[in-house]
Amino acid sequence: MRNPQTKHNPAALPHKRLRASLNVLSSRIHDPVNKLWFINRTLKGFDEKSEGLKRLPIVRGIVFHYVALESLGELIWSSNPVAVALPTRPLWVLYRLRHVLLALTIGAISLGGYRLGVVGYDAAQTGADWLFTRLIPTPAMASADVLESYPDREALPPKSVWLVSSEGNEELWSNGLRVDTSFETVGEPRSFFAFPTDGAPPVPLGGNPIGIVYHASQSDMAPLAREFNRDILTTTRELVGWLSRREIYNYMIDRFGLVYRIVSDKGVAVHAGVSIWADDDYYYLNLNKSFIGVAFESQWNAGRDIITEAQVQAALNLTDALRARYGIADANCVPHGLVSVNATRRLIGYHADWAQSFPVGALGLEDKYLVPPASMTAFGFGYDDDLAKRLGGALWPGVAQAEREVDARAKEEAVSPEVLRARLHRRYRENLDLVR
Amino acid sequence: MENVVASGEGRIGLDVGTSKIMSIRQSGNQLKATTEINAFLPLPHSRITENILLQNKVHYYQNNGHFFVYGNNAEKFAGLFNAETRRPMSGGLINPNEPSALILIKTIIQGLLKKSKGKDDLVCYSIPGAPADAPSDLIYHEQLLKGYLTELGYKSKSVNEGQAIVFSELEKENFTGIGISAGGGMCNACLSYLSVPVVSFATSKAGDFIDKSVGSVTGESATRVKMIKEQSLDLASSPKDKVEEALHIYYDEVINTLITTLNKAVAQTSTETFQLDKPIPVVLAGGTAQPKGFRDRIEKALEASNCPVPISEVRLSPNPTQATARGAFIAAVYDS
Ligand SMILES: Nc1ncnc2c1ncn2[C@@H]1O[C@H](COP(=O)(O)OP(=O)(O)OP(=O)(O)O)[C@@H](O)[C@H]1O
Ligand SMILES: [Mg+2]
Ligand SMILES: [Zn+2]
Repeated sequence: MRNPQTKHNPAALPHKRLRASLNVLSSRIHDPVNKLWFINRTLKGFDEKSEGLKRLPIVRGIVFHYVALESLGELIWSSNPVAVALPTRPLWVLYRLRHVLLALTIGAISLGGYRLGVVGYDAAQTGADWLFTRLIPTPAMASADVLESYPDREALPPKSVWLVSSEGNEELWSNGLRVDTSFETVGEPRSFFAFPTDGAPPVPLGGNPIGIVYHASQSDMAPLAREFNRDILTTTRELVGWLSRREIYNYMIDRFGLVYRIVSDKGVAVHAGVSIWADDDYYYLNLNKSFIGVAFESQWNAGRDIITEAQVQAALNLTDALRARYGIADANCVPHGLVSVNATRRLIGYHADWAQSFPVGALGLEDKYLVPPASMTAFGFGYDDDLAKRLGGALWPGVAQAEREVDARAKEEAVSPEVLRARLHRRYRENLDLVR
Repeated sequence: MENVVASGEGRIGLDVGTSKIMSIRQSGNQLKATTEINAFLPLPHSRITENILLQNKVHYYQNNGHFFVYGNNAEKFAGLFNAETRRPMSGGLINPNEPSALILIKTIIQGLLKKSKGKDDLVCYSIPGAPADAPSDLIYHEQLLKGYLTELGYKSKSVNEGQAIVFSELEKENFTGIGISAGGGMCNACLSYLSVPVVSFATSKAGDFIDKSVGSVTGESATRVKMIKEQSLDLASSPKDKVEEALHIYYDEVINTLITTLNKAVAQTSTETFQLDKPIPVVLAGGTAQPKGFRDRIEKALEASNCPVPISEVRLSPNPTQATARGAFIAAVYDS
């Protein structure tokens, strides 16, 4: 009978204390593949980098944490991002500074002598583990309790919405909207061109926003679990603070439905980038200056953006308030994925947040997924297979409609669709010079 | 099933077992498992047989004046043609005494995997622990499989079956613990620490051994014993007839061999370079682990045996027959 047995060589395993650290870190990653990758990458990296350091346990310890940090960084910021939760910004800083930190620490130890080094290392290791534990919480929202769709809004929108009170950092509006203003910045005043659809010369406009673009932050968040109570708010507030310093988005709605104003309504925020949209009268290019940006703190899961019921309610109130105040047309309230383009490659859907399943109906808006995108019908943009893949299969119906319209027009003008699209795209290029 | 990371595209986990071959791949956000029984049915050449096979759209392979029906169809048609199925593998490895083994395994694998589409498609396939008396058998087995996969256009790597169980079942424990697959041809086990295999081994007493032994002491055919075993065996209550009694006895034999070997293997390592920090779990998978009461018997045997490593718990995989393929899939995906 065979009684075989293979003994492997577990030399790759580091010292007991470092194994314990590795255990602590690994426990924060809740996906078998990511965890396996992280452990193996760390062990291998440590094995390579710690060769020849056998007699220097302290330095080995530092190198170990350095390698672990590097592995985590790669895991989180790889081109193929994974489900490790935020708050990644402090980690990001650490990650960027990892070489400096490594050099400094090792330098300090060799200069400060062994004893000091031991004390310092103990503190550093405890600190590092603590930090890692806080930085890498377990992944978030169970998708089981996420609604597949939200019912359409029944009531008519209020005719007017006004500010009821403004105390401290909170505004209360007459339709129930509450806005946290602690991170608000003013921003550059709006001024932009609108391009009449009938071909008349462009019209300079400014002051009030003309529309709303909805975004999904697709960020990683702290998990929604009691033990992360402290992280949950800190994460969001850190994110909002960070956005505010960079003037990204006008509003952000967190997962509890709290609305933060980041840049004032009349101020320009960075959000829509290279983008195109149209209503009956005008085309709008590069919407930052003309449209308000509203972001949902969200998670990308199973090919869609996941948000909560509280966020939908808050977005409804915010949309009503903005539309009532600035007379924004339904036609100009649109998800980012439908307006974003890649101008160099002449493709739609460059950013694909909310390129599907945005709850338009629940916000009392018409279905923008049925609207043929002006980028295609007026400016000759197209799409590639990659977009459908990113969206998990199908593109929104407006795209096919736009394609039919372009084909029909090409037939009418007796040219091939390609020729027509190239011609349309030339017009885009000319107009673009004006918005730069 | 829970979702494994998004980048599982083009990655396949393949469990090449003595009784079945199973592939797991990602399909949308889910894992999809496909199984073919690892058996074939040789049928003498005749017009009628050929017609029946054609009418039923059964794939077969023709050689030496025989039709070879393989995979799930082999079992299906065995009754119909009143013939016995044969196995291309025995004891966890490709059967060297079965002349049609090579071509049939290859055909079954081909049917499961199809030709590779992307040039970076990777298959991770399970292999048993090395037989101490003939380690080259395993190398031969492993290289043959690798060759087939290359022919089908896949990159490939192998994973020890016990370790695949660790990958699949011990994520919560950061891949620290003992994974055991009690299958048809053998029991495979691996002790891993933070996913690093510390020791792995295999015993050749498993499901097939039970069927054959019980058959020979009771006068029943092994096929019938297997059926009784799979449909009604309950190791938690006392046996009701001669066959059940024999099943209990040989199950205990399988368990004792497994635990004795485990203790020997672990004892050697734990005194050397490696020491455990805390008690570790044992997780059971494989078809032979399925009867009610199996887990309890393993737990009792471990307690009675003074196992050299402290054990925190013995648990049964929630999906015992898929665990190997799932672990192989995880190994295929993380390897990026
Ligand atoms: N419900 C059941 N009760 C008892 N035994 C079962 C049951 N289902 C399957 N088996 C037995 O499990 C064995 C097959 O298990 P499994 O599919 O895990 O093996 P395998 O992977 O093909 O073989 P190996 O890993 O040994 O090469 C067979 O002996 C079969 O009789
Ligand atoms: Mg098996
Ligand atoms: Zn966006």
